[in-house]
Amino acid sequence: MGLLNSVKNFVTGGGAEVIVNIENPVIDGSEPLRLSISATAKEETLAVKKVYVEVKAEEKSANTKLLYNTTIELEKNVQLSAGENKSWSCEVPIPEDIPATFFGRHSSMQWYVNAGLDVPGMDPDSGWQKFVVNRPITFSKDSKSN
Amino acid sequence: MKKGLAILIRKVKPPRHQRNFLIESTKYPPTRMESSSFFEDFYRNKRLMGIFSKIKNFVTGGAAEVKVVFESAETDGARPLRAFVVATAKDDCKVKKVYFKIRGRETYVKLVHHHTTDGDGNSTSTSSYETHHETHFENELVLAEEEHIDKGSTKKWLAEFEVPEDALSTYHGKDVAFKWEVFAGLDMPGNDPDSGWVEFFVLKKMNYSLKTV
Repeated sequence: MGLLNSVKNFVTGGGAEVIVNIENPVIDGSEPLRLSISATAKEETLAVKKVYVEVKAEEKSANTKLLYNTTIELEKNVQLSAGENKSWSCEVPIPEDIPATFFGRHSSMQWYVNAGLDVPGMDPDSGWQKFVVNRPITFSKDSKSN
Repeated sequence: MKKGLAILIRKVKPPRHQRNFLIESTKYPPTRMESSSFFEDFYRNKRLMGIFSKIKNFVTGGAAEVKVVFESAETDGARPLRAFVVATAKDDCKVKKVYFKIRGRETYVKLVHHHTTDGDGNSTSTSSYETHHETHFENELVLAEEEHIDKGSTKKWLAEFEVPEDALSTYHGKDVAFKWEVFAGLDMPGNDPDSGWVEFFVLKKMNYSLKTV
């Protein structure tokens, strides 16, 4: 069973439970996104290469276009014993030149965050969580002419 | 090189007795001045050209140049916008009305499926991404009625308007856009001279919540 579990976790990334808590899920862009991340190893000790947070902005209509993507490394070479819980916190600035959240009738632009552990064979993560950026759009001269 | 250029200039320079005439009518300079029938032909052609020009303007809407000039092309959504419609007549213009359209329009990509059947009854299905538009808001203002603009003169009218309270903010993405635009036109016989769509910017802070997303 233990071996089977290891294989399952290897495939599914289920070796740990990762939760990202967004402290300010609706922001105006002047403040950074404040996150706290917690990870609990499930049944075995995990050698984590790195703990990371990803933030992306995605535009959707019939297809999906990535407008922004960044990865922030929180810690390297972490060991999590079975049942052990560790937590991290970070602040992610939202770049000014990327549009705010937008909802049309047939399209949208949304912001997401995901926290994960880089473990060989598996990357347990929190899944993409939405947050909202409400701010007036700023344009450069070039983008106005688009 | 310089010598060649000088020769070319000398060649195209008209004789002294033709120079004043050329200044007066640069559009149709005569090439021969010998006979009086030349002048008759020339002025008849000029009248014909005038008629053709009127027909061309009737078809193309080129009787006037219409421009939209914003005092400021940005609003936070609450502040009204002021724009001047400036029309310069290239021909005498009898204008029924001066109109001003406002629209807020979403541009997006849609996956469209096409089914075709040939003469033998064989059907083929293809899919393609196409750019589509949907207008969320449109309005038209009449700025003036029964106007006359003399050839060569310019008139302007003020358009003052607001965007609706629930207006979406301007958005420029990769495939998606939400643009606010205005369009000014002169209602005249034939094709209306117009400004084309001119973008202005609604730079407002939206109020989306986590429930919205």
